[in-house]
Amino acid sequence: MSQMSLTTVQCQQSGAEKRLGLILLALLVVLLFCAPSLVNPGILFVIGLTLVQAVFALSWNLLFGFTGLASFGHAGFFAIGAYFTGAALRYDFHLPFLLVLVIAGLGGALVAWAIGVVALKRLTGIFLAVLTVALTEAMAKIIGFSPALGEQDGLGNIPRPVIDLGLFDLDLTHGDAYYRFLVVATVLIVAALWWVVHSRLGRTFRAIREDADRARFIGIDVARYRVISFMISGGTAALAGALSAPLTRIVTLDQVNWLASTQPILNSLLGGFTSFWGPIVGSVAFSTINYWTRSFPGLSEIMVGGILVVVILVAPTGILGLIGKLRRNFGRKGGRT
Amino acid sequence: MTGSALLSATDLRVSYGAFEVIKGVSLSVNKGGALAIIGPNGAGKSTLFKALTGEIGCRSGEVNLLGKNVTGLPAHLRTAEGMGRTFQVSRVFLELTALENVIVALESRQRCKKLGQGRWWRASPEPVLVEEAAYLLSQLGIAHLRHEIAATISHGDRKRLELALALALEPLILMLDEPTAGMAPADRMHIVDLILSIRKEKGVAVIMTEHDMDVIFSISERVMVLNYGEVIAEGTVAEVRSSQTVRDVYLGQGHVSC
Repeated sequence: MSQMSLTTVQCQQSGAEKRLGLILLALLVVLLFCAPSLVNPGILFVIGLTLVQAVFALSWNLLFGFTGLASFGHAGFFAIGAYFTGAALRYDFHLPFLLVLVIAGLGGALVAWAIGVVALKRLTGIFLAVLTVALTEAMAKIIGFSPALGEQDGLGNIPRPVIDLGLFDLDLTHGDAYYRFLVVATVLIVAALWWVVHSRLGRTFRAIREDADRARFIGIDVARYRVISFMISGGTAALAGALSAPLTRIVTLDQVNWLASTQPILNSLLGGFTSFWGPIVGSVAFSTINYWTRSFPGLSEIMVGGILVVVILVAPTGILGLIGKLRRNFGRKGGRT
Repeated sequence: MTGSALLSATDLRVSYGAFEVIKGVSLSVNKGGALAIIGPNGAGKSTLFKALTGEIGCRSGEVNLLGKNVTGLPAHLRTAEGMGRTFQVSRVFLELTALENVIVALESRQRCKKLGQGRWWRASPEPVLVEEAAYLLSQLGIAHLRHEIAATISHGDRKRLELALALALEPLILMLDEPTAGMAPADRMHIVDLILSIRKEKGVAVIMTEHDMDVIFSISERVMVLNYGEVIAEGTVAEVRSSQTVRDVYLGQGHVSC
């Protein structure tokens, strides 16, 4: 087979694979949307939490996998969204729910901007990681002493919203309705992040991840783009938190500690941080393990720990990286998605 | 120092702590001109390069590009003003394909020069930039590697790719840090031809450091010799070749104090 015809065949294969991927994705979304009719409320709740964790993990991986920066305190951003939305619904801020989500996202982005300007414009990347940990710890202390935010007990009894769409109201007070709203919101956020990663902006982020000095010498303002990436990441994490509050109907300090910050990291590493879809795959894998081992306290942590050790040793690029490697070994076109 | 200089530096001084590495160096390059900076290891060539390109700050002195004082500008703004740079050990975006590497540089050029950036909602690169990137790669003789991940291509081809990145910004001056280091003789001469044709066709000025004298004499009509951070000789190739001071430094007659 000539080089040209081989390339053509590969392109056709790649095009067919893309179409197949899109069809599978569409089927998955339809399946998720119909889940309330297919599974019991317990599993539906777990799926809802997984969607939130997937968005949270994607937000972290935009920073790590695509811009080359690490945040070890991402739960701080999640908590900004969760507590703000929880308080807005609990104390009835008289704001439309969609506006509450927007404000939560912008709030996360604003805090990320403030940290980013200090850590990334003036200092090096490691200070970003340190400052995010400081943010999370400071937030935990502030919340812990705020009676309005439930102090150590958390903010409970969060009502689910009703969205006024002008012509009609979208009542999300029922669990199934809110779940469906969550599916739609997740799809929109994932699509927006996919666009960011694959757009001009995403290519610039990847160039910075690969070699910041080289990026400077093709005219890229590295500090500025790192801050932009951090703002998108922080805003998305806050949005994940904002979506979680009406789902769980309680926000607690457990969501504002270093352990909560490790969850998106573990999800991304397990699924594969080099792939856009890796954090989603990792979130699903973690949720599945947690669900299967729910009757054996401590077993899920042991299994997760064991799997992570195996992943890091055998497949540092996670589940999707391993699949890609296996496909290449079998002579098929693989690599990044 | 001429008023028409494309790039000029006046009395540049650079220190690492209390240790002065560059001691009052002045230079100038005109449009389309070429200057080679040579000197033994530790002479301060790389530091001077970094000071000119904005990677490190100067203790005193001034760098002007097209008559504009760029001394306080960071590297990315100097690049936007027309300064291209390659590194001694080639630096490209290793996990991107060769084509993506150049596309990223072209997209950055569009931003720097405030040119049209295409439709913002479009995720894939603008077709016109893809074509331009492919053309640049073909000019550098690596069109066949366009879909290869940069990490997998050879050292020589990576050097070419790095040159493509620098050229994508349509620079007025190319700063080449040992452009042929570690290359096979045949590749070396290809790079020399390439740089000569860039100078001739695009009128791009060149400042380079290099250890290979054949490369220097092929590309550059003017040579500056550094030793211990000071200029010990400057002139045409013939003048520098005949300088006893330079011979002493290169043949190990010891440090020449000025």
